[in-house]
Amino acid sequence: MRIACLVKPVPDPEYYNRISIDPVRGILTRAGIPVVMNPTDRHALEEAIRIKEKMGGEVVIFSMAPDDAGGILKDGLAMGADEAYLLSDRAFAGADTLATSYTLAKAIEQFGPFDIILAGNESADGSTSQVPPQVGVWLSMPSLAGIIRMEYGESFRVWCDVEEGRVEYEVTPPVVFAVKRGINTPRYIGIKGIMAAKSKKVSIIRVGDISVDLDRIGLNGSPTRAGRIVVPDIGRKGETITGSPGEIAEGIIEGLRKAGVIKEGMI
Amino acid sequence: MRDHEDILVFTEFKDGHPLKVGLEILSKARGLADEMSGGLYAMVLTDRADGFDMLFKYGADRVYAGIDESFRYYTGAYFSRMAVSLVENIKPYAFIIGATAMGSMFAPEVAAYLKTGLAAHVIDYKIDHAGNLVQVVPSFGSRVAAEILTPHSRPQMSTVRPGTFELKENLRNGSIVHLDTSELDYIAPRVTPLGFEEVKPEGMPLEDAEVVVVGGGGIETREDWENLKELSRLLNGALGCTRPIVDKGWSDEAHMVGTSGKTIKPKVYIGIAVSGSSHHITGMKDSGLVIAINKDENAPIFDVADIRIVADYKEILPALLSMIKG
Repeated sequence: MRIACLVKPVPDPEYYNRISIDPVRGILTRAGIPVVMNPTDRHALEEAIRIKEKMGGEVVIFSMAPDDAGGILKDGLAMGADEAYLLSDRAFAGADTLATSYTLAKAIEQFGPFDIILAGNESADGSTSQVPPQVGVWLSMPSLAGIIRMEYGESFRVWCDVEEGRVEYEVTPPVVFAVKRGINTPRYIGIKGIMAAKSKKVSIIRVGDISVDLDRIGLNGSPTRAGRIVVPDIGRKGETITGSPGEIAEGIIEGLRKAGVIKEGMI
Repeated sequence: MRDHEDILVFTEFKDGHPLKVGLEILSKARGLADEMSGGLYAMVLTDRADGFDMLFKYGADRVYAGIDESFRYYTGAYFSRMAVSLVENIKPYAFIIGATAMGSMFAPEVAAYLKTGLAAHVIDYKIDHAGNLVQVVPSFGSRVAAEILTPHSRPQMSTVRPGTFELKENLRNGSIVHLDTSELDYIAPRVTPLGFEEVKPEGMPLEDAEVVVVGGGGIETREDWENLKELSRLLNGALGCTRPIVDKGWSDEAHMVGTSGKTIKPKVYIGIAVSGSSHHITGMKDSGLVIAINKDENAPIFDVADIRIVADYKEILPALLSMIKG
């Protein structure tokens, strides 16, 4: 099994409350926010490595990000992936999900073929969930998302989380799978993994290294345009209740009563 | 711009009934269609010829219905083929899809086939003076709202999460157009649905509850979690959680509030040891009364709280439980 795993570096979700807009230039400031591997992608990588451990083969990471994302891909290699391709070029910048999925698909095609493309179900920053199914379209592969459980052998069985339950599918590769965080618990990166990663390669791929239609990449290849950005004011003028635990509990019950959710006699 | 522009809404069906999110989108899109002097059309792929009346009730002028046994469960190859054919045929101005589990697979696939733009999880629509649809979407949790335009391709595609728009009746005398499903015979999907297994979430559904108690990453023990469960039960409410509780295995994603979980608007939200990541706030900011208990006075949840309690929940919870129990 050759497995491609899509990994996205994202600003650490723990710090999103610090994101603000530069009032002069009207752009987002993310200064001081560290970049991490998108949390859901870690679960995709774990699943990819498990498939490899059971069925043999190799796991290859693909990521489209600036050069400095190499460290995050090294983490993926330390987890157990075999190789990583970092698609980094000014020409790729400004890509929306359609252009991103096209660029990733072209790289996957170039360094393929792959039996399985695995990805996290959504990224923490944009949360669109669009890239995995769109990669599937460019590669003429079917895709499934919201995967919460997988069994593999001759064919694949996967369970997709849907409203009020799960739908089970039987799948014949090649296929694109987008997984949810509940599918597994990613392994810790141990010293052995870190040592092993030293001899593994992160290859930086520039636009000239893959065969792409320049009208389909970057801003040119993106049908969407970002308009204004606003930080919505969702703050409330709250009151602070202080006092003994009993006094605070009374304050809470008073609030519940005013909101009309406590009927007389209930308490 | 043409003299009239039509809007197509994919309304997902289950067991012969439309999901509520489709009706919510129709309710909102009716106004947009009127503004463009266009029609509002619903697309349905279903295994039963039932439930179309509801679509007319919420504003659809026409229903394009594909009825076939193979539409019982989602199969990308079938659904996308049907959608691409219909869009190429009627050339709508916008195509809007509910961001359900199924819609989140279907919408990106269709957008990629059509090579058009797709805005995710729209919270508001406007039409600008150039005649483009302005699609307002959240980003970085709900920390930021951005306008997304698809100026040069049509249709302008977007998804909408359940619970975003209000239901509004607007009864139309609509017609049903049956879609030809014969071309599906030539498709051999490599993804075959085998069946559906119902997973009943424990307790009252979060979306229906007047009171939602949410436990966050600061909840220290399983016993404390059980106490929260009791509090929610005593208040006839539901119990929700944030990501750390799911990671601890005390609850599951069906009970998680936020970007990758549920969006809730209860009369009262009580956040206990919830720090308030922007992903969580996305899912609860439109609640009625917001009560927050956290020992960290700088916790972001306090920015969106009506009643702030800077204290250790371990001290407040027993007092509250004993007072309610009398």
